[in-house]
Amino acid sequence: MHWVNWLIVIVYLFWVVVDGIKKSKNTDTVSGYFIANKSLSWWVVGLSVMATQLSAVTMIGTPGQGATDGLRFIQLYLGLPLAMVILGVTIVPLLHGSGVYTAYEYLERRFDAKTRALTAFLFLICRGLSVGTIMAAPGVVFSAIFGIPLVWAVAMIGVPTVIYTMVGGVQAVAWADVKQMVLIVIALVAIMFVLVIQMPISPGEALTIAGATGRLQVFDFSFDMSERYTFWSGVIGGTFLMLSYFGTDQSQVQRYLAARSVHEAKSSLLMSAYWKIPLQALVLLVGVGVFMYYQFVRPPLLYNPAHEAAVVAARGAEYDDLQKRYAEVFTLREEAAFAVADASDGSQQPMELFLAREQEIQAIRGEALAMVVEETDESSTDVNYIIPRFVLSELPIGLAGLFIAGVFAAAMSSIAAELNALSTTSVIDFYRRWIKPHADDAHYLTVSKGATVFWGFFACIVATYAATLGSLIEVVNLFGSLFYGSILGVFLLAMVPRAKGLGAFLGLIIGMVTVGCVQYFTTIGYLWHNVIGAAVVLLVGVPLSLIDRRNA
Amino acid sequence: MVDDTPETSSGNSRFRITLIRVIIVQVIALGLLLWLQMRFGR
Repeated sequence: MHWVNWLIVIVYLFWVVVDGIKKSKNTDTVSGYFIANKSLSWWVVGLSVMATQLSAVTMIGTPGQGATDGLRFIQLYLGLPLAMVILGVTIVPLLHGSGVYTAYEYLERRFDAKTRALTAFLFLICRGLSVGTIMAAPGVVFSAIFGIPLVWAVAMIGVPTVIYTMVGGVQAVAWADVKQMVLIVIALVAIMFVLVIQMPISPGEALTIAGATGRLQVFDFSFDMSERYTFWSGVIGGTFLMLSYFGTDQSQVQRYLAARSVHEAKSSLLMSAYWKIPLQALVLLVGVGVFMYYQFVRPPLLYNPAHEAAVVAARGAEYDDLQKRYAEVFTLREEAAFAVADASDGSQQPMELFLAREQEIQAIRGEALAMVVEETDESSTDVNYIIPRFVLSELPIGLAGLFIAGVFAAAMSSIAAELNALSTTSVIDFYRRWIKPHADDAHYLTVSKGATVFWGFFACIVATYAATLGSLIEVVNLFGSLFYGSILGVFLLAMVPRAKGLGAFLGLIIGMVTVGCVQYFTTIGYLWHNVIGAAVVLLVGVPLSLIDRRNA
Repeated sequence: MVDDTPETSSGNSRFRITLIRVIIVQVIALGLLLWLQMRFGR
């Protein structure tokens, strides 16, 4: 990478750490460190909520998904606006007004200590692993792209994040998120601008070609429950996923617990309700734009440079032949793309020829990816390398550095929030609750900072061994669906007046077992798992609660 | 600072207005995407 791009990245990393440390005033109490003394404005919390949810997986994996699969992934977010509204009138006033530091602390007040302990424990497991995955995503890509060891790439992301999170607590995290969100949006808009300027055909012609390959197929209105992304799974399953994630996951709950008032907490969530879908559309359209750009500028046959080097080393002559075929068919496809753009008589022939060439290209790529599997024993998917390769080879100097800094920003904003939440839950729900309930704030703050370092180190270890995980954003969501629906079910059960601790505790366990069975034995899409988990907890939890009342 | 002021009717009315704005923005955003699909999709 050019030294100017490196300079931008290093200046950004340095600035975010220094600024985070400067925000550490008023964090010498538990309330100040964990929930900023409930002093944050709605727009700070709102941007922090958005930045927390927008990880490097979104910056790298989602445009990559847009390039290969188009816009249909946006259906995952269809339920988000509705979920934000529901949360605004249910869980947000409940948690913000109850004076708790964690969502699980509320569950002890409502049910009992074992329900609190189990949900908090599940959060620690789920988030602890997912923060490692979120750190692995950019780590693996940067390692391959820059040719540096994975552990260094992980450290570049993890170390500054742990420092400002540990020193500044939720205030540092939230204010860093604000700046990171601005950087991310600027980087995305800039890359889209460059794509439009450098495209040799008009945007309308480019969209026509992208549409012909199915990449503009946004909505799938079928009722096929095995199809991963449909309108219905997004609206229904996605609503449940977002209710659970934004309503019960401590990494998000802690954001709006820090808001000045219930009204400002609600308003902060509404920012996501307004802007998440347009932002996600922008991210995916960047991917579609890159796909179109690569119709006229030949991309590498293999996007992962480490994989390419391995194949060249092992089967150089064979790979050379494949490269030659690729170059020939690419030229033919490029001519076909121009023919489609120039066609003014409504003839379908140019489009049919283009689609035929596109299939040939995909077949050649398939052969190359098969070589990767044979030579490296690693997953053949390289969707996560499309955007970084594009950025580093096609964007002007400076803009590439801005985008890479944006990826760092996205990674750090998510990781910081999760480390902060993991530390808070560890201390409030376990250490203070079970081990040392009567220490002073100074003691708990020291333990919290130690917990942040521990979870940061844990995340780095997981990230180093997480390696290639397919489409990373889907892995993160799949894993979460195992637990999220059932945990949401517990919070929904809390709103049923007759529900008791036994019902919540056993309902949660049965809910997770049920979702596990559905995942293992059926082909039902993962977005539906959240609905199933929540429904099982309610269906089981209410009758069990009645039994509990009778035995009371 | 903790705000202990109970939700007032004007606060609820403000929230309803915001809710309507959210719905309008989403309808516009999704409508644009649907137009994209119908205009350029296969």
